[in-house]
Amino acid sequence: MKTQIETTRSGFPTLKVFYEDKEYYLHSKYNPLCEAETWAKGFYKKGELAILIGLGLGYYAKELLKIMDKEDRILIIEPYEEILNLAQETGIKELLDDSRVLLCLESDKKKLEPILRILIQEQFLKNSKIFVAPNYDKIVAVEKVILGLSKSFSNYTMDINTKLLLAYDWQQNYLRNIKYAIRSCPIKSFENLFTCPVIIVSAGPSLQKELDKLQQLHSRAIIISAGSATATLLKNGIKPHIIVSIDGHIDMFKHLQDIDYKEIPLFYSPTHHYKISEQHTGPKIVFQTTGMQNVLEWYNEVIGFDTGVIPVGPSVANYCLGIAYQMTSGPICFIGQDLAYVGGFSHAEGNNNRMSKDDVNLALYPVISNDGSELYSDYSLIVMGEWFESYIGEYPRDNIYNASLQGMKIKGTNVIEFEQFIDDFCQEKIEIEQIILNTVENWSKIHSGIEIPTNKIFEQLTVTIRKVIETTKKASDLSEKLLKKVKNHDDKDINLLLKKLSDADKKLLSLKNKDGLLFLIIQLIVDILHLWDEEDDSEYLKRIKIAEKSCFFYKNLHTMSNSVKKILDDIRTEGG
Amino acid sequence: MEQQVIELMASARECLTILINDSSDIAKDFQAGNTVRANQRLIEYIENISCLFKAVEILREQGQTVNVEISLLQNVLLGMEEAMNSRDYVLLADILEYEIKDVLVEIQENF
Repeated sequence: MKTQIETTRSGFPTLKVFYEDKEYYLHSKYNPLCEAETWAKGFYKKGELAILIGLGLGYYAKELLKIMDKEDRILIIEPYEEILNLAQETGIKELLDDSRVLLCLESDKKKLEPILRILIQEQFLKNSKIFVAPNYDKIVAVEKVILGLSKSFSNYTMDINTKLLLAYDWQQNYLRNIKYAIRSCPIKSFENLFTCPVIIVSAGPSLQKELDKLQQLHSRAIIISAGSATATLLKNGIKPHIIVSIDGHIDMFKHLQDIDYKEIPLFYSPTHHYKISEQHTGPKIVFQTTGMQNVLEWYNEVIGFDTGVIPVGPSVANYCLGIAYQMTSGPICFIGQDLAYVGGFSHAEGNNNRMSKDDVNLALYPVISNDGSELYSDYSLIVMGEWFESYIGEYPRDNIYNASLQGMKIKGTNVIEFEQFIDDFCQEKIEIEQIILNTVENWSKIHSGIEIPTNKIFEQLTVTIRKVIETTKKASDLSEKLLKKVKNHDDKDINLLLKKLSDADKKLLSLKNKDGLLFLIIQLIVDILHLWDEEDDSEYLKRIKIAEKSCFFYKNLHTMSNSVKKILDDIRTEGG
Repeated sequence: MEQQVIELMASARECLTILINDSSDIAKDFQAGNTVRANQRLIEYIENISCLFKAVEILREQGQTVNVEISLLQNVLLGMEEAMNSRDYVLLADILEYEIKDVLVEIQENF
């Protein structure tokens, strides 16, 4: 990239950049001041943290400052050092002197991290919006910058308690779903079972206009419903052939509670809320996910068969694609997979989760839709889209279609009108329900002779967890003593304490091999501990932090183990 | 026929006034980030320019002296097309606000 400063007829400088054989002005070549004023008025919203990608010569940021509240903040991320230098030469002192402005080079992570910390402490990231300065999308891979930023944010925004609470839910669902998994059919039984088309239905706003076409489909394609799309489909008289459930939160159960999904084949991961398994009476098909090798093997051993795996993804729709890939060699089509706030909304009409983009408490990022227009998306939706692209990239097929025309682009899919997809591929009627039922029944016949010692399994688990409770209690007390000594500069017996802690560690490590579930909890706490930065601390502070980490680790593991024991006791009381 | 010519001249002048006003408005929409609306309005804007070209052509066919340098407008339109193709809204807004508008004002003065 090359740059050139030009003086405009208004007397103010503008910036021309030469990038990949093309040239762009980052500001008006006639009156950059006037242009920036209009830009700022169009974007500013009181109470929001404005994250501006692209400083340019500073006009946009300066105009934003003029209309911003005293309490608001603007975070400017400049991808090019050269442009930052030019801006400093032409004059951005008023920006640098203003306490509302936080300016950082994109590559300068050391500066960016503390800035993010400040913004989180001041509660700014709860309500932020990203703006891309004009023409920066031509000279920078903006989506990558945004994702990089978002990843840094999410590391800080999810607090430790939330993470531990999620781990508890995860643990509870995994354990309580054991009794249903034992009686379920593995997804492995569905491998290459079909050659017919599959339609993956998601609950994006554009689903609404495709419902009438789905109603007319009559078993000419397998309809897989992702998460909350099930309610929308059933409310409109469309019975999907398969519903997929992975979400462990109680809200998902509540969402399904009032609709009649109970007889529809349920493809689920043991992470999904156990009450959904409890309520569902139809055929159940269980799968586990990649990336959890320890749990996977342990779970297979517990339930007595290999479930088969689906690639782990950030959302239920991602799992649906994995399931569709596994089941059919035929064409796969997305509908309602908008990955953005189409028409300004998150979900289709009638969906309980539907929200206006103005009401969501999330940072929103501009993205390009299949029809070329610009729309807004959020971090989790962009990550879902990235997952699809990387999965399709890794396992390329030329028969993946996307009929969510107004939604965000998904590379690797062929954009198609839904009506066209039906005309081209969905002509033959297939006995889908019967094939699914037969597959599940065949599995049951083969598997029915095998006795699973459920009670014994839970007894063994209880014995393991008791040992963990005992060890973590001991280690937690030891680490508290260690912390006290370090704080008081008392080195006496420190080596003995460290030796005892090391013994406790060894004991836990030997247990984790037996119990995959516990291993993951430990892993989660270790992940959290990594967020405690100690790079810039003095030797004394480093020692305190190490002792604090130790306390945190054992205390939380101890609490978590007690919770797990309670779940196991409940299961055994209820009769496993 | 004379009445028709008078009416056509009046329509062309009205069209020019609308175009001059729209030039700034659409430019502002692009600058303020309302690109979807701006692009929609731009379609109508280009249709109006096309009508203006047609009116000038008919008036000339009717033997009227229309002192308008259409080629000036055509050159600016080419630049506009290029900016549209590369989705360069900074350039597009500049062309609308500072280039095409000046040409249209000049045409209006000579009409």
